[in-house]
Amino acid sequence: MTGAVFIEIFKQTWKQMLAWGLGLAALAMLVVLMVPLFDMQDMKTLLESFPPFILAMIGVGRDLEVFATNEGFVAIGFFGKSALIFAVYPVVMGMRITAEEEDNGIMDVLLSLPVSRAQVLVEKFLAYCVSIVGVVALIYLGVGIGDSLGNVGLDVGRLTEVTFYLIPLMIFVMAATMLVAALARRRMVALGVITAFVVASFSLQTIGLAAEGTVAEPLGTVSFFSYYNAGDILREGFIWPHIAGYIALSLVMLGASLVRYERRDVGV
Amino acid sequence: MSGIIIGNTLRTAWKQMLYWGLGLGLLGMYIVFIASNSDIVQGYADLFESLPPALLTAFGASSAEFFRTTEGWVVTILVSELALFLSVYAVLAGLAISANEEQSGILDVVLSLPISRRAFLLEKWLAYALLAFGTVLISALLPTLTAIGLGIDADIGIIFASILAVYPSALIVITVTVLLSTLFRRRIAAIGAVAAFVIGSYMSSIVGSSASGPIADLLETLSYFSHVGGESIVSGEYEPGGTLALLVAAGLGFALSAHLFDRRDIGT
Amino acid sequence: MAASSVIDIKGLSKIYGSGSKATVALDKLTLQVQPGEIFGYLGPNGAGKTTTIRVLLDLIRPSSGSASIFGMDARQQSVEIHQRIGFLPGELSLWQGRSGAQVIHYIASVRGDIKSIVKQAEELAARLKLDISKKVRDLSSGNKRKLGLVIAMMHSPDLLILDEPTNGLDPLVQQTFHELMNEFRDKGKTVFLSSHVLSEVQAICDRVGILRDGDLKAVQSVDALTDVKFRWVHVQFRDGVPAEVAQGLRNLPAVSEFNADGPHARMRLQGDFDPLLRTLGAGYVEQLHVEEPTLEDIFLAYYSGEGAGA
Repeated sequence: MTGAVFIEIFKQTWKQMLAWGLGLAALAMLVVLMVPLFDMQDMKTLLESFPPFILAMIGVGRDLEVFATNEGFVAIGFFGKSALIFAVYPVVMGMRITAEEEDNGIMDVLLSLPVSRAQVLVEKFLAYCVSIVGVVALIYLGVGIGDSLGNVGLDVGRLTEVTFYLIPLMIFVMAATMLVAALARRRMVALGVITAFVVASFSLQTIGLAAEGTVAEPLGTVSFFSYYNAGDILREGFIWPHIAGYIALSLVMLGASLVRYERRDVGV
Repeated sequence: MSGIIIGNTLRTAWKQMLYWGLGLGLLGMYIVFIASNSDIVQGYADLFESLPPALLTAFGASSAEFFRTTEGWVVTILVSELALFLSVYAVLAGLAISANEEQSGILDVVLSLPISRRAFLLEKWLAYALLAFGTVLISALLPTLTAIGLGIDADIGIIFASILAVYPSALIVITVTVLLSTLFRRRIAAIGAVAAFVIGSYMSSIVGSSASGPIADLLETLSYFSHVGGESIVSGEYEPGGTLALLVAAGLGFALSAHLFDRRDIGT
Repeated sequence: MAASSVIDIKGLSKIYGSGSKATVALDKLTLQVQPGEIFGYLGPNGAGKTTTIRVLLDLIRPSSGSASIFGMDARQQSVEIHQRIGFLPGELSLWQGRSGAQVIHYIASVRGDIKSIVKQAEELAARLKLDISKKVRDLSSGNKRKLGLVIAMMHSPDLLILDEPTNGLDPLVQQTFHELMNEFRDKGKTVFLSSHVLSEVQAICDRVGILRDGDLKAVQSVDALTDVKFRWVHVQFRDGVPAEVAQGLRNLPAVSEFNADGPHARMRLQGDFDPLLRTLGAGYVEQLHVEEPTLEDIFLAYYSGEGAGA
């Protein structure tokens, strides 16, 4: 592995990484700046009267101490409710691993060079993983800057785990996109399938939370979004089994993509 | 205006409309199926009865009446998700009006034909406006027919009308995408800008509806998600003026796009 | 012979799709390209030229048969093969937002020896009058093609695979391209180029393969291919074409496609000249012009199923 593809991809992507990171950081800042508009003590009193399934629906969980804090509001209001938004960037990057360049013919040039298909895929995957880390780091920076600008008095340290937990989630989505593109060949088909997958996962999770006690609840656990629960993360920190699950599944999908892409025709 | 471009666009893009309509319709069917368990709706209704209005807005419902009825529960859960997912469809549709063909060079060929740029853009916009309506219609028909099939105790007309009320927001997103494609020329820049618009609107809606005060109110007003209108249909407070305003805004946005598109270089 | 071939294709078939939608792109193709030759791969659109090239590059996999380059299997040892080849696709796509220099640097870094490759690329670019500081999106189609040629040749590969290489190049640059190809051959290197520009193939190729509907119709040297047994004969009479001469010419078995227009007559002659000259003797011939068949004629002859020597 020469790293040349990795470096080039990073050169080509850093501007998009910056744009996405700054955009999401701006949103994070906006949410942080809104925190003073809430009276957290009133909120806590109110939430104490709620039964568990309502709390689950809004992603608060059973520990009210978590939500009724500034950090809890940011974690659940921004990171929890906006999980779908964080899935967009990895889908865009995942499409670039093979689908985009295969569709526009660049892959023909790349694969005529002395580099194996597996090497191209792995180096690109790793480069986009780094860009995901960059985007997440910028979001974290946005939270910190929002706190300073608005004098919110947020304990930013408590949001570290909630923020960086996004990395395995986003890598999972990117790996799924790569696998779909390796299987589907055609870019538009791949985009359609991965969009349906992400949208269905998000819906299963939200409906599962809103309909506790019905068939929607166990179905909700099938969604990969269910393992990114901002309230739980704020309370318990990194939930390592879930992170390991994201990483293991990402690696399995990476492996399956390599096998499939190695065997099939390119650009047909 | 000959209508040839409208016809051609409908022929090439109807499958996309069908797939999106079926996908979103399936989501609606699932929610209606869950709602057929009356305990769930009753549980929410009892609970929300006791909540103060400020908190209810955080759930996406402005009055306890919403959760009292099955149609209220369905609309509250479904419409917010539909508006978000339909925005993705609308962005793709908006890009297909000019940006995709400009980038691929197809526009050079099309505009070498005896058709004015304004007529071309108008026909494509009308075609995608029709396709978006078709998507919304299918999305509305499937859950409505499911509700009838399951014989659920709900005002099915309200469910149908509330889903159709999402349409103007899709038209707004299509138009904004066309406008941004006209302004930025480069497809990738247009995508970035329209993604910022949709995500920013979504977050503004969430934050604005969760908090109180002039800033929050302004954010909520600026977001097109806040004007979707499904909940006002449920509560009987629907006023066609809001929908009309969105449609007029879309028309004006298109007129501006056509004016700018007529004045600028193509494909450079 | 096959062991020393640079390219060795045996019984190669490629079928796209399956069942009733199956399309045979290549049908049991067998072909060898020798070291140090410029091999022209001729055929109309859809004949299977690009499919052959993409199999050689391991971008697509054959339905049956095999292809090897430098004695290495095109599929199993593709990375080793790619180290020694340069490729220009028929429709070149590159990263729009990168400059020519950046693209060259990237590809050179994948190949390894960045410094010498970039130096060679700059020399080639200067020779082709290409400004590599411009972004790809700002290059004209001809200049993109030049960049593609630079990328294909900058590492001095042992084999060049070029798909319609002169598409979009102006005549002056085409001339430079021909010079480059000849210099390349003089170094003992091999070129496999697909084309439908027959004059180009005639000008630079040593051998030609003619492909039609996935089937290799003929492989011959350009000289042998043009050594066919028909000629175009133009005759100019002083007082128009005499009726009895016209009738006589039409009746000659060796003459076909006879056309008379005023004093001019044009015909295709297959075989000896003697019967023609005896028939012409009945009129007053001012001028007689014999034209060798062009490669286009031969090309059409192959496509119409007549083959060379028809």
